[in-house]
Amino acid sequence: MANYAIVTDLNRCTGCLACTVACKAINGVDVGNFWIKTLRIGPHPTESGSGHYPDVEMYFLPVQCQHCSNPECVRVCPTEASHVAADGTIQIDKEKCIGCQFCAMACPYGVRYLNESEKVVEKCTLCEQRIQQGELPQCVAQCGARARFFGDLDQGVDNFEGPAHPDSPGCQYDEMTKTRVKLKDYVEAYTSSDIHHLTDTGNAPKLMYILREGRKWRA
Amino acid sequence: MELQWPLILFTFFLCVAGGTLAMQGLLAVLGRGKQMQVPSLIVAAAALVVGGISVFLHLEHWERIFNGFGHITSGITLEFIFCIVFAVVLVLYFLMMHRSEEGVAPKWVGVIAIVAGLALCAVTGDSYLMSALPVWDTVMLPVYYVVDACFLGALVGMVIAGAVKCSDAFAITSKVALVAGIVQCVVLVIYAVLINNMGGMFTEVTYYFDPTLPDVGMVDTDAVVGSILTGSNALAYWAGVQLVGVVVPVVLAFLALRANAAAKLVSYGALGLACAVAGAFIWRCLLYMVAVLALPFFYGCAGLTAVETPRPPRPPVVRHLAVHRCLGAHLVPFGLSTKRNGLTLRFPAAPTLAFPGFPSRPKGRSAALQGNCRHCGNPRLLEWSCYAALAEIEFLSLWWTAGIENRTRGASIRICPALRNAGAPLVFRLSRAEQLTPPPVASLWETCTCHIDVREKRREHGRQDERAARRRCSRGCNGC
Repeated sequence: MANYAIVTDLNRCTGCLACTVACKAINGVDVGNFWIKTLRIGPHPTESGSGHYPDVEMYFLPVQCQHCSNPECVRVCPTEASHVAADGTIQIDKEKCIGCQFCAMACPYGVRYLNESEKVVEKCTLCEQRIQQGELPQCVAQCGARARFFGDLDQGVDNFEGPAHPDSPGCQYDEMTKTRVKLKDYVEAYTSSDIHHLTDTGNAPKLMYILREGRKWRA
Repeated sequence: MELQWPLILFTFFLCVAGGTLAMQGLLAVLGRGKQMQVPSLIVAAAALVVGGISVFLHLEHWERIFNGFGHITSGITLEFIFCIVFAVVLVLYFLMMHRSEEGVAPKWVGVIAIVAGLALCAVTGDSYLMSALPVWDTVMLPVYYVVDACFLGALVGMVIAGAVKCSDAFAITSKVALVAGIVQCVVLVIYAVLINNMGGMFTEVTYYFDPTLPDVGMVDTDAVVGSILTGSNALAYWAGVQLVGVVVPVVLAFLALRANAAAKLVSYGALGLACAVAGAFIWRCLLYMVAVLALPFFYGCAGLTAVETPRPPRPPVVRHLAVHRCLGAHLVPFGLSTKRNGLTLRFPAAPTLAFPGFPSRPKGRSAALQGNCRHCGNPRLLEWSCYAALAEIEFLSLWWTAGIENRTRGASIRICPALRNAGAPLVFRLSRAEQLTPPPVASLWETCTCHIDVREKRREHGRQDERAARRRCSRGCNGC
């Protein structure tokens, strides 16, 4: 079956936090919990630069559940509440969760939070309720810079889709939400060496980040 | 990471239980300690029960405890299984002890008791091996638990031997405490040195900012892992863990060995045990305090973040006041309105907060913020009907994009259709500074909610205001 993931073009990401807010809005995430959070990485001095402004570089990094191929959270979960779904995403069966929070400790990215009202751990679901109906995850749909694309890894990252008009960047909002473009047709050219993953501690994160030359990947 | 006291107590009491049974098992193998058997079994069982209750308290859904056997290879499930095996071994020991002619459990039961006691501690340590936390992801953690079990078990054995005057166990319990203490000292030094040299195991992100934790400084992993040997936690380690937790009990065990008297064994053993307990707790706390993720954006995991940033308190009235301060208005109870800096905040006649414990929101009522639309400059109303959204603004800097219209939990945010139709993702930002001081009108996010405005005004103020609202709508704001 599918193997869903999201790729974020960090050269496009403006750190607008739209993904962070959209996720909270659509999923009703508790105050203080963030299923996706956009960090600012930097500014760092550029290599072979003066060591100070203006020779600095930075980028924004949306951190969410990476829906790993070898998830630590699934390994430590005593009830199999955290499990790998058929579409390759990591989901939590809240009926089984006992709230031990070992998955929250085991996650290398700190993206699992205890829902204190339901007393179970929650995290990014890759908007399962939307992708099952052919829609895009809310963070992808709402991205302010059209930097995030969603798709099936089995079909190649080039074919990941985002909500944008292929011909008219300044189209109306309602029209834009009904159209899709592919990553390879929309963003600036990239190579495989420009595609990065977050720190891998053996969990093999699937979500990708494009960061082209000029900025140093640090995460 | 935040100290997880239920888990700290759980691992401690499991070490006491496992070590006590293992010590008794050793005595059974040597054919000694007949009078100590029942007290040791009682202590081991009691420690197991107390540890089990402690971990129960950690669970959010304790009533689903039996779901914990759903994943046989997970660390927690193995802990549960070994706890049950441990309890079975306790019962087995008791039965075989009574069945024996000498009144001492046979040697093979002693061997099983040693294995069960130490295996319980090893499995407990193994369950905490997580690659996300380099400080815990080392074989030294289960090794420490096993050695700590031997140390604590021997000290408990000294106290029991002295209390029941089991003279054939005086020397062996003191010797085991002495040896286990020395080994524990070495293990702790090795573990601390290992942690001190773990700086390279963390991803190096020199500068970063997390807007969800704006008051938390960047994690300095070198300072964190270096804090045990020579840094901010050095005193706790050297004085608390080593000196009080190991050296003092070892000296006391040596003195008890030389004295070889029941009273000395009880007094030295009890004092040594108290010191060892203190050291055990301090070391476990230190392990939590230096637990930083391999991708060190947060201390420990985000949901269990550092104590420097406790979650904001949630008393509804305080939140209400804070929201008003944030938006530059006074607290407005029950149908009054106030105006400051061109902003008017009106509240309906009944509380409408959508939090648990508050009265449910009356239908059709909402709060409204009136300002000037940034697009057309006309006075408009921005409506919220869920204060959860407002509370977010209070504590964070957030960017709201045009087009979000969300009814989850009753939140209702209307964005000026003209702005939305322009196609550009419009963002409004309420900075930290703006949250703390009354903001000027232009810096806040004002949008037009003409249709809502009309409906609200019609309900509250009659058709006259509706006509006025429609006139404002007609002044050039597309889509209103």
